[in-house]
Amino acid sequence: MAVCVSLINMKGGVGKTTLASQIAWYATRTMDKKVLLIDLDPQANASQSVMSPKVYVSYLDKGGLTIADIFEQFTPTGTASGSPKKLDPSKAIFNRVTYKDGSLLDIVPSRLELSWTLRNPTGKETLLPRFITKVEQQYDLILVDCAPTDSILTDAAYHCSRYILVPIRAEFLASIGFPLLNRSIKAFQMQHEDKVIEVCGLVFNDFNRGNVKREHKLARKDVKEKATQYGWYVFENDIPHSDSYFRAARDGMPIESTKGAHYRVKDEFAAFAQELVAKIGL
Amino acid sequence: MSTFLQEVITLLVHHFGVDRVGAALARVSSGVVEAPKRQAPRLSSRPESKSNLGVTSILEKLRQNDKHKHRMLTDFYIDLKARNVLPESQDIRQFAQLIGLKEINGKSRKDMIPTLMRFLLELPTERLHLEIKRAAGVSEQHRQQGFSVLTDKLLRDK
Repeated sequence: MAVCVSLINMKGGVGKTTLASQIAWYATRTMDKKVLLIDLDPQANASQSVMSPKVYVSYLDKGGLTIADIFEQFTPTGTASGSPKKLDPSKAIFNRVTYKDGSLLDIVPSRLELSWTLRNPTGKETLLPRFITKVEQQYDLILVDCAPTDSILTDAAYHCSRYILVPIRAEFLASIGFPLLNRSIKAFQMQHEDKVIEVCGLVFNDFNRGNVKREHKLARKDVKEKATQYGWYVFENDIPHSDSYFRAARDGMPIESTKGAHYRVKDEFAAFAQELVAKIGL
Repeated sequence: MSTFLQEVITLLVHHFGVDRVGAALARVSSGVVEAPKRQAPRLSSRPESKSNLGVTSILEKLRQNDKHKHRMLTDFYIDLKARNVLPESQDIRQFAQLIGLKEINGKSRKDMIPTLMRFLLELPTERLHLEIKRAAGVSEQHRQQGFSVLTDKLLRDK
């Protein structure tokens, strides 16, 4: 059975998508795992990056199914029959790459229309876990890249996740988003006592190497103190800023194979990834 | 005797004395001391040279077994070498991650081409045809068009 990890933070721009994509690549290429990346953000950045913009657009133009179709599969379409359609799960999965050893990277793409789900969310939070139940046996790891909002989409992610990974930036406003997430998870756990869900950790992402700036130090100290108070693990291996991640996102490539990525950057990411996989028992 | 040699001998005599230099020169003329052998010019041992030879011979063998595949691969190989496709090393790396070639070591294009060719050689002909077509869309120029493609799509859909 696959381990399902959602990357969540109510704050935008903390690097959820970049991290989700790179963890997916790492697990596939370095650990030889079968990985499914689910893009649960209407902005669809993970899809655009992992599939490449041209392939993504072509996929949509050809009527390829997305996460929006999973959430709206039982919504009357307004056609003459208006009857719900049963969705074939495999039709919503795009194979990015399959290697000779069987390891692979698949993605459930997203699209802007996913935001419609937010307008009429009633009862839809269980549709993603139902989808995952049908496909999880094909994978070792399922990663869910969440939108920066507390919504039906976050609830859906909680429902299907065993672990939550929280990327965080060491800055004041970003650190405020972190207690909001704690409240959101607690509220979910109170409503679903049977559900086992655990924050596998907070990872400091995208900060200046050396972390010498006063604001970073303060924010980092604040977050660490609160994390300790909540009993949340803080990853020992941070992910310092590197422009190579931007290039990796544009090229749809693992940081390991990204042109110009410094060995130090690759090693830092690998160190974090190894710590993560140990934490989630992959 | 050249001026340079004359100067060297004068210096040696000045430093070691006439007798010792004379004795040394006598040993040279009697063959006891051999002139240092000149280092043979290094043959090129770059792995890609050997590997490229390997690719050529594999392609040659393929000619007898599968003419269609041989033609496809040979054309692709020629295009690769001429940089008509996958012109930069990063293009080969990206293409490798599209077609399922996990490890493609080497820094330069030359280092990577043999690995890529050997991988392609093992593909079934139908898939090879598709992958070779895909290679045409992998370049820095294509990657830079990504933003434009996405914005066009989003605006068109509106």
